[in-house]
Parts: sequence; C-alpha cells; structure tokens
Amino acid sequence: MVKEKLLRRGAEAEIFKTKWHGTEAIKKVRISKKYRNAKLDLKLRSTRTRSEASLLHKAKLLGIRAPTLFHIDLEKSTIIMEYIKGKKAKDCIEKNNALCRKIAKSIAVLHNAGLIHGDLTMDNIIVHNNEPAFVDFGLGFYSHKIEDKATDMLNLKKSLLALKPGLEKEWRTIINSYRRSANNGKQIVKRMHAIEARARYV
Amino acid sequence: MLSLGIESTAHTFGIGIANDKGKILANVKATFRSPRGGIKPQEAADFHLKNAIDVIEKALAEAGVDVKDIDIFSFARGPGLGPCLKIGATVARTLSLIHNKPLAAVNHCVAHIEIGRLLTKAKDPIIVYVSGGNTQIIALEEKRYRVFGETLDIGLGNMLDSFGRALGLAFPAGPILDKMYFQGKNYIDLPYTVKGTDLAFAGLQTAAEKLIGKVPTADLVYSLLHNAFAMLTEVTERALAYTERDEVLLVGGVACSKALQGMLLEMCKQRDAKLFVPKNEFCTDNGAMIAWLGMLEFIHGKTINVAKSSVKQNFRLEETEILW
Repeated sequence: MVKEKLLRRGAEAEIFKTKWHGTEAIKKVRISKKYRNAKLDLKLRSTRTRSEASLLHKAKLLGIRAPTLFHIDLEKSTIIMEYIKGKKAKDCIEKNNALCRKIAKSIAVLHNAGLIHGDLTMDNIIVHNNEPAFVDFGLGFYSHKIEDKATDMLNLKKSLLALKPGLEKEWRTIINSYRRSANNGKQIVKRMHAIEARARYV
Repeated sequence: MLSLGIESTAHTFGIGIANDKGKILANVKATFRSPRGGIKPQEAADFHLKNAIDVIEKALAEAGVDVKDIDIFSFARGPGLGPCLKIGATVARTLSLIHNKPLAAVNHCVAHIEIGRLLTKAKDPIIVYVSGGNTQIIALEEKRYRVFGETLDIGLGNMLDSFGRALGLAFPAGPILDKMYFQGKNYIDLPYTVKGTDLAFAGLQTAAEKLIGKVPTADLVYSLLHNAFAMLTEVTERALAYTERDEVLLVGGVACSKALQGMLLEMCKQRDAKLFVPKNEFCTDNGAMIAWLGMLEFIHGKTINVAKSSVKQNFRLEETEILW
C-alpha cells in the first residue's frame, strides 16, 4: 500500500500526495456531498471527473503546462496525475510582470483552442521557475463562445483583485496581454465588462 | 444615542430604531403587494409614500421614544428601485432638516450583512446574501466587503417568484415553494450552472417552466429549488475553502428558506463550519438594519450633507469602507 498524505481538503475534492509506480503523483478524489441529492451528486462527480481528465490531456497537446494524466477511475471519481512542484500564483504574482504576461498568453492559447478552464483563480495556477502551470480543470468545458471566455477572465480578475487591494496594475498587465494574444481578444474583454455590469442590481 | 433607519429599496417600507449598543428598539414595516405579482416601481413608491407617516409613528411607539430623541436619521441610498429609494431619502432628509440632526445614507446590502453580524455574533464569516434582486457570496477583506461570487443573470429570489407566477402562485412565492420542497420525492434532472464562483439561474428557470404540468408539481419544485440551492451551497463551500474561513452568515429575504438553511447546515457540518442565520424579520428587508448601519457610520464620523445625498440605484457594496 502506497503511503498517502492529504494535501488539501478543497471544496469539492480531497487532494492527496501519493506515488504512481514510483513517481510522485497527485490523487484527486471528488467527495460525495451529503447536502445534495444522491442522483445529482453522482452526476456532478462523474461528469466532472471525466471532463477534467479530457481537458488536462487537451491542454498538454496545446503545449500548456498541466499535470500529466496517469489514471482515471470514474466509479470512485478519482484521477491520478503528475505532481507539479511550485508556488501558487497568488503568492508570487505581485510586481511580476513577466509572469502576468505568461499567464495571459497561456490562457489565450487555451481559449483559442476552445478550452475554458471554468475555475480560473490564482489558486489554480502553479508557478515554477516563473513558468505557469494550470491545474484543476474540474469545472472546465469546451466552448468558442465569447461569453464563456469572458466569464473565465472575469473569474481570474476577481480572484486576483480579491487577494488584496492594489493589484490593479498586475491585472492590467494580464488583461492587456490577453487581449493582444487571444482571438477576438477585444470583444472578449468588452464582454467581460458587460457581464460585470449585467450582474449589478438595477 | 438613537438612530432611526428608513428602508425603501423595493417592496418594503420599513422603519427601525437602534441604539449605539446595538439594541434594536423597533422594527416596523409595511410591504407592497401587487395584485398581479411582480413590482411596478412607481406603484410601490406611491405605497411607501402613503404608509410612511403611519410606519414611523408605529416604530416610535414601539420603541417608546419621541422623534426629538433621535440623534441620527439614516436611509437606504441603494441599490434599489429609483422611485422607491427617493421616498425613503426624502423622508429621511425632511426629518433630518426639521430636527436639525445628522443624516446617513447607507448601502442596503452592507446593512443586511451588518445586522446579521450584530444579531448572530458571527465573527469573520463568508456571507451568503440572497434576496429578490441580489445573490452574492461575500467576504470582508481589508475593510471592504468583496464579492467572491454572484449571479450572472437574475437574483435567486426573483427566479423563485417568477417561477411561482408561472405555477399560478401569489407573490411572494418563496414561502409556498419552500413548503412544497419538502413534499417532493423524485429528483428531476435540471440544468446546474456554476461558472467558477459565479452562478446563473435563468436556464434552470426556463427548463423547469417547460416541465410544468408534465411532471408532478412537488417533484418539479423540489428539483428546481434543490439545484438552485445546491449551486449556491457549492460556491459557498468553495469560498470557505479558498479564504480558509469556518463561518457562514446567511442573510437576505431568501435566507428564510428552511430548505436553503438545511442544505447550508449540512455542508457546514461536513466541514466543521458554523452557520448563522438571523431571525426572519431581520433577513427580509427591514428598517432596523438601516438604523444600525447608520449608527455605525455615525459613530465613525461618517454622515452626509443633504445636498449630496442623492440616491444611487446601482450602489455597490464595495464602495462602503468598513471602519468598525
């Protein structure tokens, strides 16, 4: 039996550090939630597990750093994947323009291929040697809609600006670089502002 | 010291009186009910105007104080419906000028949160604010309330009312739907839309409305509410995990829902967190919360000049600095 260590109890999954045929690996188990109906619970857990595995693979094909998939078990809602060393982007983004631009360009590559992360936060970007890697595609999906890409960016914006005040400059670097690199970048950014305005109480 | 607060952002015209120790001395309200359901802003505003004096007098009597004893007059500046907001603002300005006492113009959403914190003693919670027009998951960061996630289309309460209308229920449909929830037995597959930390309810509503009459109503109501509340619970749990907190404060009109309370409680139990919910009269729109927030702002030296006290329909809660 491989020794497993619980790294994090996230909102929807437990993340363990484990070994996969001698290699350091991450085991992600989606936890059953007692608060929701068993039918809904099973549906959400298995579809998210399957789609996460598929998106991880696709991201790698695009040349974006993401964990390599080792094993998937739908019945247990479990994925075993590569362990990526590094720090969370939220701990090293400040005043790091080069990182901001790399993050933006990587997201543009994903979006240009129709890959929407779905939970783009400063927690889900791991940085090693100042290179970003994207983890947790659990809420990801395929779409070429401007709306979905804009929602992804809005999510990233909120997670960055909610960290602490004064990160507006970092956000501007990210969004400007993204606008230049993404197909329809200008429209996506425009839509992002529209979504922000739409959510306001009128 | 006494603060008199006026709430008039939507259906409710409410007057509350609070002292500087956080004691609520009065909380009186009159609620506009449209015979057709929904709300026409001008009709609600007319209702507020007609009831203003009566509600104020009842509140003063309930608190056992004279209007001359009031030290500050507060009103909800927004967010809300323009015509309704203007009635509360005009009443507050008038009282402030006649009695030569300071005026406070406060944010309605912040008021919901502050009365919740006051009454439940939650220390540093993730706030779930769900009402007709608002659906937000909020946390206090660096002296501002920050929105962690929110609806991308309609408010959860509006969705329930609107679905209730399609079923032929009277306004407000929420309490009736909440009872029906517990009679539903079979779960029907409906859209479940969580986008990161944001939510969307319009697709869920449309899908459910298409099934009216085709499946047992109690099952449909159960499934609709179940999905909507599960979405909200999921994002709340994500906010707890992300910000490493262990308290949840539920506020706003939809907070009265036993189904929602039960679901959040179950989630909190599973991760050793604590759920706080104020009493119903302080969850729905009320004057006491405006009085209390006005008092907090007054204590911290924040009042407003009548000439600058225009209402703000799109008043965001991030605009208020939390000095306490």
